[in-house]
Amino acid sequence: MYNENFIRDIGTKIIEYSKAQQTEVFIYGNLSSLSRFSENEITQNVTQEDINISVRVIHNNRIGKATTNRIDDPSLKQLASNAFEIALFQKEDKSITPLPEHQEYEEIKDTYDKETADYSAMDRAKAIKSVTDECEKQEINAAGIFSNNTVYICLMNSKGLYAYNKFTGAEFSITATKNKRAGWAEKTVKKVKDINTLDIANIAIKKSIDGQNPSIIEPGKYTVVLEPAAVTDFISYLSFLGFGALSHIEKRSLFSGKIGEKVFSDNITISDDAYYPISQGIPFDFEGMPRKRITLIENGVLKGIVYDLKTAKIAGTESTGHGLPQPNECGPMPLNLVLKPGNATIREMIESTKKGLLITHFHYTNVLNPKEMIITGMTRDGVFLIENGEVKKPVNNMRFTESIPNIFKNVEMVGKKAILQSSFFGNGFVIPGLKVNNFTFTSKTDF
Amino acid sequence: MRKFTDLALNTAKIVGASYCDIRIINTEYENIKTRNGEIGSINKSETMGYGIRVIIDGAWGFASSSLMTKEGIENTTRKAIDTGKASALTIRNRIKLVPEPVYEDKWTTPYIIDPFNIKLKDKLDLLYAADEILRKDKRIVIATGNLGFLREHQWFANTEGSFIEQILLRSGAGISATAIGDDVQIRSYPTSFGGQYMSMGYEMVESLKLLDNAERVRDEAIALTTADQCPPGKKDLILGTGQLGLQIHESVGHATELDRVLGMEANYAGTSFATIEKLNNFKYGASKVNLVADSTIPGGLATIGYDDDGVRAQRWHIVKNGILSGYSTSRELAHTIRENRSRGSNRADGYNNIPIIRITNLSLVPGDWTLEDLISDTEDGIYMDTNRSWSIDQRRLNFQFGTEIAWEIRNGKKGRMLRNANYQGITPEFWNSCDAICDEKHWQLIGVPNCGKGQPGQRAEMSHGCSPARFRNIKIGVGQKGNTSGQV
Repeated sequence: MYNENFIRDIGTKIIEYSKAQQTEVFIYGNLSSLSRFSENEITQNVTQEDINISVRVIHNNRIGKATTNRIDDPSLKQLASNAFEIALFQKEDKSITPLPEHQEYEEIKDTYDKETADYSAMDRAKAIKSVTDECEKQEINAAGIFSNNTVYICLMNSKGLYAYNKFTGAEFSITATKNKRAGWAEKTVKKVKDINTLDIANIAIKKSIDGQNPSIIEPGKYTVVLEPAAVTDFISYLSFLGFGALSHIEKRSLFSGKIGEKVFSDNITISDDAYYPISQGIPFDFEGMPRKRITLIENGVLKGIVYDLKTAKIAGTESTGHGLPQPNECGPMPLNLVLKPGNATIREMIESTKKGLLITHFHYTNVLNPKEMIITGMTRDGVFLIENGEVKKPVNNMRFTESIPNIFKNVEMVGKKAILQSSFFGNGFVIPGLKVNNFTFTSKTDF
Repeated sequence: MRKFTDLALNTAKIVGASYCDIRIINTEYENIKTRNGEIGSINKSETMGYGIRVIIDGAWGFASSSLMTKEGIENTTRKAIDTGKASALTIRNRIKLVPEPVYEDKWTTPYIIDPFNIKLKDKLDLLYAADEILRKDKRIVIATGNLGFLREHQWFANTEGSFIEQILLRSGAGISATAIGDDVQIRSYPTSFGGQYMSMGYEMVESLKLLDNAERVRDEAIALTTADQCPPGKKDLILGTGQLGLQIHESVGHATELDRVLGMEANYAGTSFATIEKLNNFKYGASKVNLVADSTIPGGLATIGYDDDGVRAQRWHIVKNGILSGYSTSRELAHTIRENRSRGSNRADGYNNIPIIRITNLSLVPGDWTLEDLISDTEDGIYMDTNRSWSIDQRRLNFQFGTEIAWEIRNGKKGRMLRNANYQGITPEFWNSCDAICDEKHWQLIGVPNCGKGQPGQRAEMSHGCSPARFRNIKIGVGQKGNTSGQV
C-alpha cells in the first residue's frame, strides 16, 4: 500500500495543478482481502488493492468534481483540469459553502494493527478450515466470510486543511445450516487476534441444531428479545431517517421540530461517538471537519441532530463533523452510533418474558413509509419461542412491519453488553440487545 | 493490451495454474444530479485496472490492482495464485469449467449518440428546466434530476485462447418530486431511484421527454399527499411496469441464480426455494407465465457480447408455460444441473471483483390484453405502479413491496388515487395467481442499475421487460390501520 507521504504528495501536486480558487483532494485507498466459503469449502478468495482520488473545486461560486484511480502526473493534471472545466459550466450558486481551513483533530488510538494488515490468505484459510472441519463432523453446512482490510483516508485542501487516518478491521461471519435450518453469528473487530472463528461458529452451529423441527406460529403482536444484530437494522434506518439536519430543515423527518420532546422510552440513549472504545470511527468527516460526540437521544428525549457545513449554515449553527463527500444530496449522517448499554443480560430478558420470541437478526429490512419511519423485514437464522421465562422451541420465520418510534417506545429492557455490529450505513454501530413489547409481525413463512 | 494479458496468463501458467483469465477494464463515468435548482452531485470519473482469476490446485484465487505495469501484473498474478493455494486447503470438489468455444472478437453496445460528446451545459440545462417545472408549486420541497452515463472498455483473455474486447455503454435519466402536505410523498419519472437506465446512447435520454412529464410528476406528488390511504384487505392487483419489473427481479431473477440455489450466498443474500430438483417440474406460475432470460435483447442493461467467463450471450427460458425451466449459470456451476454449457451469466462489478452469477435481462413475455380491457374486466382491484420499497425473505418466498402511486379499480373503472400502497405475497402463490398479461404494445424494459449481491459487495445492472399484469386476490395495505394482522 502507498504510505502517507506518497499520498500527501499526490494531494499536494493536484492542488498545485488546479487553477480553481479552492481545491479539495479526497483520497481513499484500501487493501482488502476476503475468503468466502460455502458447503464447507472456500469458494471465493479475493485480494483487492485500489486507490480512489477525488478532486472538488470551487471557482466563482461554481463547483466541479472529478475522480480517478490513476496516479501518474499527466492523469493527476487531467483530473484537476476536468474538475475545473466542470465548474466553469455551472451556474453560479451563492449557497456553496467555502472549504474549511486548518482543523485540529482528536487522536483515536489503536486504529491500525499490523497483524491485521498482514493477515494472509493462508491464515484465513487455516482458521476457516478449523470451522469447516467441525461443521463436517456435525453434518452441518457452513457458509460465511473471513475478511481483513486496511483502509486509509486522506483529505486536504488549498486552504491548509490536512486530515489523514489509516485503520484496519476484520470480520468473520458464518451461517451454519442443518436440514435447511440455519443459525448465524458474526464478529466485527479492529484487530484480527480478537476473532476466534471456532467460538463464533459454535454459536451459529448451536442455533442451527436448536432450530430443528420448527413449529408454525401466527403473525401478530409479540414481545421480542432482540440480539444486537437484530437491533442494528433499526439503528441504521434511524441514522438515515431521523438524525440528519437536512431532513429536519426540509420537514421530511418525523422528528422535525421535536428537539426537546420525548420520542422514545426513558431507557433509550443514543449518541454518535467515533471515539467510543470499540467503535471504528475516524476523527474527521468528509469535509475535513472534526467529528464531534453528539448526544442524539437522552433518556428518550430528542436532544440533537447532526450537521455538515451546508446545513449548519442554513440553521445558523456549527458543523458537528458529520458531512458526507460533497456535493451531497443526502445531507449529513451519523456514522458511529452508540446505543447506550443498560443493565440486563439476554438471559434476564428471556427469564422475564411470559410469552415472546428470541430473534437472531433480520433480513432485507427496508423502509415502507419514510415519514412515519415504518420499516419491514424478515426474521432470519434463528427464531425461538419464549414461554414462561424459557426458550421453548424453534419457530418459523415471520415478516415484521413496524414503525421505528413504536419499537423504541416499547423497549422494556436494554442489554448490558454492547458490541460493534456491522451495519448497512457507516462503519459499524455499537449495539446492545433489547427487549421490546408489542412488536408487530404481519405475515409468516413455512420455514 | 495483449502484452499485459499475455504476461498475466504466462505468469500463471509458469507457477502451475490450470486456468487463468484476466480482465482489464477502463471505465468512464459521468453522473449529474440536481436538487432544488442546485448541483446535488456531479462527478466525472475514470478508472483503469485489472482482475486476475486463477484455478490452482483445483481452487479459485483472485487478485486485482490498478497498477498497470509489468511488475504490477506479475505481483497481482502471484497474489491470485497465493489466494488460490489457500482456497485449496479446504476444497472438497475441484473446480470444473464446462467447455466454451475460444473467441477472438470485439463487441460494442449499439448506440446513436455518444453521451460523452454532449456538452455538460446541455445536460445541466435539461435538468434545470425540469427542476423549474417541478418546483413551480411551493408544496414541492425536493425536486431532483439525474443523468448518468457509463462506458466500460473491457479486454478479456484466458489461457484457453480467448481474447475478447467489449465496449459497453449505458445511459440513464430521471426526475422526481417530493411534496409535503398531510404526508410526505414522492413521485418519479420514468422510474424511481434515479430513473430509467438502458444500454443505449444519449438518444435514450431524448426519448424520455423529461420536460413533457415534469408537470404530471409534480401534480401527482402533490395529489398523493392528500390521497386516501391504500385500504387493507385482499383485492385483485394490477401491477404497472414500474413495479412489475422489480417483482420479476426479486421473486424470479434472484431465486433462479444457480449460486444462490446451491447455497453459495447462504451467509448474505440468502438461498432459494427454487432448488434444482424442481427444474422442469415445479409450477412456478400460471401457465400463461413465461419468463425469458436474454443477454442479447437490444437496450437491456445486461446486454453484452460475452460474460466475464468469456461465454457468448444467450437467450433461454427461466419459466416456460408456468414451469421452472432454467437457471442463470456460470462455467463453474452449469454441470450441477447437468448442462454442458454455461448460460453466460457470470459477471463482475468492475475490474476489482471476481465474477459471480448475476441475473441477466429477464422479461415477462407479453400476453394479449389491452390495459383498458384489463381494467374494465376488474371488479374490485388496485392498480399499483412505480416501486418505492422492497423486501423479500432469504429464500425468495415472502415478499412485501410498496409503490409510489396506486388507483382503486371498482366495477371496471379506475377511480380514486391512493397513497402508501403496498402488497404482500408468497412467490409461487403470487405468480400462479396471474391471470392476465397485457400485450406487446404495453411492454417495456425497466432497468435495474443497482442490484447488490456478494461479499465483498458487488453492483450489477440488468433490465426486466414486462407489460402490466393482473394477480388475483392479493393481500394489500399491510401496516395500514384496520389491518387484521397487526396495526402500526
